[in-house]
Amino acid sequence: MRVTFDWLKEYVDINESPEKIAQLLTMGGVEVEAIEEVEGHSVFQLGVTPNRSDCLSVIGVAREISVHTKKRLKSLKTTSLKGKGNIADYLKVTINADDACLRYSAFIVDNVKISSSPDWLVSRLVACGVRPVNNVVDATNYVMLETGQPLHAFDYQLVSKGKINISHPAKEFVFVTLDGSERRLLPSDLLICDEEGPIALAGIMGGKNSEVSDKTTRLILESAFFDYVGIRRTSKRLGLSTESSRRFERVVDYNGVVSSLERLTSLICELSGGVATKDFIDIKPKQIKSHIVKLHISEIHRILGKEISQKQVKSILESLGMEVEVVANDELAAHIPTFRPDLTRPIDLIEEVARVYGYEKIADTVPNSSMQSISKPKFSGKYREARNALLGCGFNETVLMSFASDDDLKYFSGLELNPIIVKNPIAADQNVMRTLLIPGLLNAASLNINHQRKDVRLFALQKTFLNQNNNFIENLHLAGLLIGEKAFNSWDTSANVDFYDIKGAIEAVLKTMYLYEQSSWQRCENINFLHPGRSADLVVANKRIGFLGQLHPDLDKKWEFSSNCFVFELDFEELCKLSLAEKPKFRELSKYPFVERDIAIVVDVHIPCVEILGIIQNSGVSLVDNVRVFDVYCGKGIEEGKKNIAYTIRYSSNERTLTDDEINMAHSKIIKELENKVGAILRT
Amino acid sequence: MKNTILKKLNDIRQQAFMELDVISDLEAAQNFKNKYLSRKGIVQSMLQEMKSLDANDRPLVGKDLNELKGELQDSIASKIENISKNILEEKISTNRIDITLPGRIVKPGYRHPICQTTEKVVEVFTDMGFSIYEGPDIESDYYNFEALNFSQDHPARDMQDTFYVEGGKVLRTHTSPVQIRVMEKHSPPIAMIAPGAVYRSDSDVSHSPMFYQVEGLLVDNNITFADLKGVLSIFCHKIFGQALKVRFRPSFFPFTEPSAEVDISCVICQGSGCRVCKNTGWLEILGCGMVDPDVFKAVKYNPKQVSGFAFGMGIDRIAMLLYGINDIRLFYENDLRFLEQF
Repeated sequence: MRVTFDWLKEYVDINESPEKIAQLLTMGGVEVEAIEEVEGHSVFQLGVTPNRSDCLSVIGVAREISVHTKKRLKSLKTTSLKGKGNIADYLKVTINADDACLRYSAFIVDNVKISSSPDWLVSRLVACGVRPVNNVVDATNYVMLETGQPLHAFDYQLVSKGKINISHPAKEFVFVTLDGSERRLLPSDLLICDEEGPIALAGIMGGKNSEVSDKTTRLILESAFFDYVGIRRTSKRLGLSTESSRRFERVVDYNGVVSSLERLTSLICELSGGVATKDFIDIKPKQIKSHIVKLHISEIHRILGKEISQKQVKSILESLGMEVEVVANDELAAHIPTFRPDLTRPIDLIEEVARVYGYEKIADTVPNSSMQSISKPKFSGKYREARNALLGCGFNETVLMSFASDDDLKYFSGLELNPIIVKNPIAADQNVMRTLLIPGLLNAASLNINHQRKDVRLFALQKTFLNQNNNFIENLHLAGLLIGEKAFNSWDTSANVDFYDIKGAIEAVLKTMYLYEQSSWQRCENINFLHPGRSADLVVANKRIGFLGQLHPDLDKKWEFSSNCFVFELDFEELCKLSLAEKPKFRELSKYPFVERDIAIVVDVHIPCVEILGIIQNSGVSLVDNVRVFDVYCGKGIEEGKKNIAYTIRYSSNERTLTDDEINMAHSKIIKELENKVGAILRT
Repeated sequence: MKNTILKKLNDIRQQAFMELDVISDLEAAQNFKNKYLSRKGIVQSMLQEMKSLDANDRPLVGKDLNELKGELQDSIASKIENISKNILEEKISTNRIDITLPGRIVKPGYRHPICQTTEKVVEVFTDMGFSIYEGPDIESDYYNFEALNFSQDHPARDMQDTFYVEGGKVLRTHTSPVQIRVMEKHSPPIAMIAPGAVYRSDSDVSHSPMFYQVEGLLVDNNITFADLKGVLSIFCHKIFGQALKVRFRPSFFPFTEPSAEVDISCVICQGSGCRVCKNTGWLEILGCGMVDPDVFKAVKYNPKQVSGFAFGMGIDRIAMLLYGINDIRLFYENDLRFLEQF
């Protein structure tokens, strides 16, 4: 909404500068977003909140100024009309939609001469951002800006038989509005019709078929009150928002309908030399009356935390155009004018009092509230632990968009993830809610690689969204991605990351969550987007929690990766649930030295490291404290199909220093077990 | 006889010290020890030889022999010590590395500025006794609008461009639905905040279709607008610094009344006027107000008994102001050149 400063001055005396007035308005709740200079006018760009329909007019804004400066608001300018002829001889109006059209008034103006508007009018319209058309159309816009009441002029000659009917169409049909667009209308829409059919889309836009043109000599001027619901629904559905529909949607002043019509009629007569009828039509299927809201003064104190005297409250409400009666010692009754349809409850009046009184005059206090011990989301501590573990591993935290492309999702088949569809996506590639975080990480990695980044380590801890038989499931996932150099910009290594780098990061997370001991990895078969030989499911306490692996070479192509990319994605909520039950258990520290013995064996290449580890740990030798693999080798010197694998076994006891004999016996037993169970050949 | 031995001892002494002089490694030192000081060494053999002397001559010769033994022991010990020290010194000098080569980098990951800012904001409120709650991103019309006093056909719905998903649900346009969910479950007093992602169909330098908000709510007997001002002023000062000015300006939200926008004096130009504050000297930082009685009715609280305030703020905006970021979309591209600045 734009208004010019000089126009405001016609309705209230102003001694202050535009800047001062702008500040008063802003601090009173009608925000002046900017002051511009257009064609010699100071123009206020106002951000009017949806509740303040009254401030979509010059008069409404002038009233706000009068409240703050305590100057009198001047009344609407209307020159008295010297009419000719009775409107009944020209026009007959019927309303077949009482709920949608609560009031309809009309004048006839004859002998008009269509021309361009005078400069003063044109320059005001332009300053307010309205395109000038001709003196009649400009006058309707001018009075609308001034009073907030949308107005319309029809060419009388184009309205068949001088009959107007306001009704809903019987069936769907197409109507051409003033802007030349074809609009498909529904039986719920409200139309202004003549004998032959519609001539305007009520409250939104006139029809092409009744448009005022250079040939027009007689006008029907319309001022009405349409119910906001119907106007809003039609306007929304058609995507057609006009100055008129915006005002009707926010509710216009029922009692301003006729005064605005009179103001328009007198202005058009003045501008076009026309003559109005002596009387006018004013049909009121429904009356809207000023209502009364009662307010206890003590409520003001309870809500604002500030005492304001009854006298001061009364004076503030009166300045806003209310009639106020004192009905009890502590109670006022305010008659709410029809231009303030937003004021219906005591709290609405408290707000009016507060904003006019001035928020700045209400001193800050600290709540005297009985605070309790605070609660946090169940897993918030776990989020922090996992996040810190990954940060420590050099992974950067990302925040990914919740949207994904269903085209991209095709690459992530195999997990049976059914996405939730966004019905009005902002872009074609953001048309579903993400089911996994990995696609977002891949996009981020790709962006960084395109920016010449040589090492990318990313993680995200965010929600995923699934449609499970029309139940929408939101689930927190933890996902990560590694690609490129292991230690970028290092002078002593140029190796690229591999599977074990990303696995190590997940192991760090599992350790911080006390789940490392219960976790195991299983080769995963069903994830099509991972390299089948280099991917694994993470199983914790017999539950499949997620997966990790090398991105399938097909996807490398899609994301244009030239080196191997490694990803993981875990069901983080499930992980947290398991973790909550865990806590570290203290083990006695041994006073005695441990002994470490290495063992190198040759086994079939397919025997997993963890199987051999299991044999060693379960060999019945109670002295084994810890086993770790320190070398894996295939190739020269080793028979094909075999590998050399070497472990360090730590023997220890809490009771005594171990003897060589004891250790030799234990070690031999382990070697025997390995020979029996996996055909291991000891390397010496 | 006596003199012969004394002469011999003298010769041995001279010979030994000559040899000692040229010893330069540990092996030679050991050989020297073997030659002179071992069980079969020269000193020991002289002891044997001394037995053939007169008892009268023995003390004098014995004294000389013992002196010789002591001299040799001390000398070779200090020789060995010197050699060891030299060896170590040499080892140290040859083990020199190029200390100008750069250190091997242990590079921890960076935290996303949105997450850092959320944590900062949340901490201010948890320190004041606010609990943290979360809610779903995919919301029903009821929680996102209806219960918050946005009636079906109210133009206030246009304040937020809504994303719709299947099943008649919406992507929450604000974190305010969490207020309703918490009030439905708990009775007053309530002091809560709710951080999370929200969605509006808008995209340019200052709008992202997904962004982050923190919602807050305090409900109890006798919570007033003055309390709202007090709590949120403390918040603004803690986040942006004690020096800045805070102002509360009347505004409109369907679920609060009276409502306010909170402005802080521009952190870029300190209030003198710049592009960021559109020359007003003020920056809009959050929306707030007293909980509307109709919202209390929707959650079956008695608005005559309890009162409260609610507030909501955009984390992205706060982060942009804190760090001087000029395009909101940078947050969601995850460009490491960006992330590694925070």
